[in-house]
Amino acid sequence: MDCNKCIENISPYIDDELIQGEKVEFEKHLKECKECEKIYNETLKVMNSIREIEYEPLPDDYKITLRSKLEDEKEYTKNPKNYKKWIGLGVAAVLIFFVIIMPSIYYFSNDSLNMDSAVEESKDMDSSNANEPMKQNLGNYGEMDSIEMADDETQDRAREEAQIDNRKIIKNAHIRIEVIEFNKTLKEITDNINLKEGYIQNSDIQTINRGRKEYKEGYMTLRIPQNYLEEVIDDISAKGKVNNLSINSDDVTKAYMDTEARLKNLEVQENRLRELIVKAEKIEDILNIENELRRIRTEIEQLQSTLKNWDNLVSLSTINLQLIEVDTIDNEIKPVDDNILSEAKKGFISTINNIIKALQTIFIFIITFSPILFLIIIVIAVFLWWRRKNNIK
Amino acid sequence: MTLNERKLIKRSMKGDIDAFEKLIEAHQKSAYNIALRMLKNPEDAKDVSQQAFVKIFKYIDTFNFKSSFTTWMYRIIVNLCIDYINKNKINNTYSLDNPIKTDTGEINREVKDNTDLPEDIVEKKETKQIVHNAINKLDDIHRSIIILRDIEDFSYKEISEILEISIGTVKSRIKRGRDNLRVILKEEMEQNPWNSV
Ligand SMILES: [Zn+2]
Repeated sequence: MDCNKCIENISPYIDDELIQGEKVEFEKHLKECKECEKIYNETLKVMNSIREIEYEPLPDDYKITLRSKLEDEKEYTKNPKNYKKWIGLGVAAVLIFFVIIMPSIYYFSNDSLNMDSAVEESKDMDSSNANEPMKQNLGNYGEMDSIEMADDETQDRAREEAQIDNRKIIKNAHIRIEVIEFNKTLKEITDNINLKEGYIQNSDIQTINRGRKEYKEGYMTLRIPQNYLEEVIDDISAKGKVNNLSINSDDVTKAYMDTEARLKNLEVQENRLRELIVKAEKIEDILNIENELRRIRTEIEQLQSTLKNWDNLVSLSTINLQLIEVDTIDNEIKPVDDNILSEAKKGFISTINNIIKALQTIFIFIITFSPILFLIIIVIAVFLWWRRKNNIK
Repeated sequence: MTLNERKLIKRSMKGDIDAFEKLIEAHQKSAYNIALRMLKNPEDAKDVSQQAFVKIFKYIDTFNFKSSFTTWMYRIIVNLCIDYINKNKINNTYSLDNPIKTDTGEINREVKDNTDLPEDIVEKKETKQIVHNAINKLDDIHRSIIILRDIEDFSYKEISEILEISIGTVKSRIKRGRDNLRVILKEEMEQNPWNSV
């Protein structure tokens, strides 16, 4: 064994990562070579001093603050629009007020007014199905065909799409769905994914005993081109009963651009060093430059792989799918747990969201017909004034 | 992976925070200390390690049971620390080894008060301070590998999984990290003979 090889093996030897033969050879060389022994002893000393570093204790409030962050996260994942709850409550109070005076407005203006939009909104309010918030949103887009608004919207969307090309957004979806025919559904989903040029990154299918029967349960990670994500989610959602559906977007544009800039910078540095090393004459300089070059190369490779990883995550969205086999979708008896509460909460919040939507329509409506409202107020005022005058008489 | 761990993961996937807390109970201190050594600042360490746990909780349903949960978890923790360092590279002002400038000169930021300590404890503490400083002077790549190997005691294979690099790379980085540390420590010892704080 030569000294280079020996020095290389010092750390693996200390860490007990050498195989038996290498160990023996290493020990033999160490006995014979003073130089290597010196380095070995120094390394050992360094490591012993590191090992003396003690763990710092956790800050006193660590667990408590972590708990509340976890709860926030849980809350947020379940319902990203949570912050709207309070707005919603306030809005609900106002809504009740309008519901009372609305009929009178309608009464005074029944022929001339077009009530279509309001009717549509109330239809929407009835279907407070919490499981498919996305579908509802899409649906609403379709229904809104008042002319000026549609125009504005297409312009906005076109602008957005132009920006999206440059933006790096990582999308992740989570779906938990109950299905009756596990194998058939799985095959359909697989076929669809393949058709859309996606793939199954991994899948873990287990058989679970529930009562006397065996059921299948699968955890799958699907990768799908980003532009097909919503289509695929819709397709999967239609195959059974969705228990949980969420989509998260993570905008990494800024970090991506920063990394790119840093990479460019490093590449420039690397080239400059390459030029320098040709001119260098002293061995020491050459060694130094070589070290620096190696360091830069490592970092370049790391940054490149980071970018590659991001590219991959951006172009292919991830769907985490939990597929659960059940006997029947409607009659399954669920154990009582906080699912009920969360479902109720979801329903409540979705209803509030719908009320907000309805309210926007009503607000526009009120503003549009405020002159009529104004007239009504005048009529009432005149009426009161007239009655009072009569009473005095 | 133990059966119990598997159970806790499954429950965490369903959003059970209690189960998740049990799952990470044994790792909180390690995670905090890794972050502390990487970020050099207790506040950031608390924040980033907690952020990592929240992220683990959020994405726990992406965990497939084929790999080790522990390495998966530490991968997220270490990556988050590295991201944090990269993001804050420019305005990185507060750190344990950054002296605070005062009118009367410079004083070092101290984690703990050391008044009225017996002489030998002070001395030992100062050696530790020197080692701390030396580790802090390592570049991020080598610092993270030294933390994982020499402070957290992960095997080469575990480190290769956590950092997603080959075992060969782990080996060469550990060697280089320790070599650098050796050189830095020598310098530190020469500069600060025992009465540095
Ligand atoms: Zn030798």
